[in-house]
Amino acid sequence: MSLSTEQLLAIARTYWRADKSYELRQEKSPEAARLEVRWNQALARVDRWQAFLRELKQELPDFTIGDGTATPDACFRCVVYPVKGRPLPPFDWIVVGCVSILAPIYIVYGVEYGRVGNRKRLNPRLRFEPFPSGMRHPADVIARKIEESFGVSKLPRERAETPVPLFVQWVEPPETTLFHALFTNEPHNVP
Amino acid sequence: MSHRLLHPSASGKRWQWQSRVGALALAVHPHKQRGLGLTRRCLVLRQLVRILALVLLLPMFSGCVRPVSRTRTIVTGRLEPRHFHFVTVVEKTEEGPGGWRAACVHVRILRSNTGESFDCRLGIEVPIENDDGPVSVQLAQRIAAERTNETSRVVFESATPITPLGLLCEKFKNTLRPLIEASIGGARLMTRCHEKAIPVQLGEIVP
Repeated sequence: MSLSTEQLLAIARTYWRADKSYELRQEKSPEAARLEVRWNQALARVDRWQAFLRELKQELPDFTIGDGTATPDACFRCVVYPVKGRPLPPFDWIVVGCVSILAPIYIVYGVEYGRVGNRKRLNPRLRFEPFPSGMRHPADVIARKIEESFGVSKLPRERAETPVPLFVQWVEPPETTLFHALFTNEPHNVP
Repeated sequence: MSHRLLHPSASGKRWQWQSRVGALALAVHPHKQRGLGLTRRCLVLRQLVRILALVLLLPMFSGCVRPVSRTRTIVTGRLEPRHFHFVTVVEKTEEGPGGWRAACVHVRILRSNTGESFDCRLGIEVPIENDDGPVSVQLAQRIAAERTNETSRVVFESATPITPLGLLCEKFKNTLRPLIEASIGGARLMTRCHEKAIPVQLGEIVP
């Protein structure tokens, strides 16, 4: 059963505040405490996510698969790099799949980076569907594998970009969207 | 152990960030220098203006007004890598970039003349491995300490004796954030510390 945008907004408000009143206080906000509980519950079943990553590796043998899961976010993240090696050779784009820990939804996005000499990951540019040709194949595979493994629904870009008047880590209104609150607040920042 | 390890400065207002065994603090020492006003030449000129009311003389005042007080800010001391106590939050089990660690440091900002203080909480979180390869705890600690020390100089040297300490903490974190993220791919500076990160406060691990 897919959730309405209003229901997703209500979920977002459960875990992020509409003000910064707790930022300078010693104690954590009720919203932050609830998010911690959700992360603890999600990480207790991290083996499911790890199994998914192993399967994704088999499906995309020409790519490097990374685990971009970070608890400042609200989702498990898989990162597909279009290069292989250790350390990774320079790359200009990535594709990321996010499975929310707050709602039965997922999203796939891409990031294009600039590069000048040794300086990399400059000027990140976020991409959503429809993806450029290079991103399309890994994005399709990620989406299919997430649906098979977790039974969650893709949140369309238009709904993900719904503004929410919430403070999500460093992202503040009017910039904040459902995407930041239910998935990641630093989409360009991956390992 | 006393955290006020700071000595009165003879050279004006002084920020000191002391890092000794078991102590870590940042303090401001406002020091007012004697008041300065108009020079003797300017006073004579002013008198002339009063008496003669010659508007043409007014431009001669330019350069007469000097600051009433003069302050400067010096940042001393260093945060050591060992102050960043990283704990694993998300295990890394697969090859390639992944895993997540968090550290939490409470830097105490102290205004020594008033006793006002503020705990500035730095939550620094890093991947266990990124595109450059493994990010060892030692590497994360060293980079976190270096960037924090660099930022402390930039931010605290520009502070004034009346800058609110909470605002100073916010400015500190806003300046530090892009530096941390640029130094370790995937790293983040947090608005709050992670619950699993053991806060290191004034050199002591707080339960």
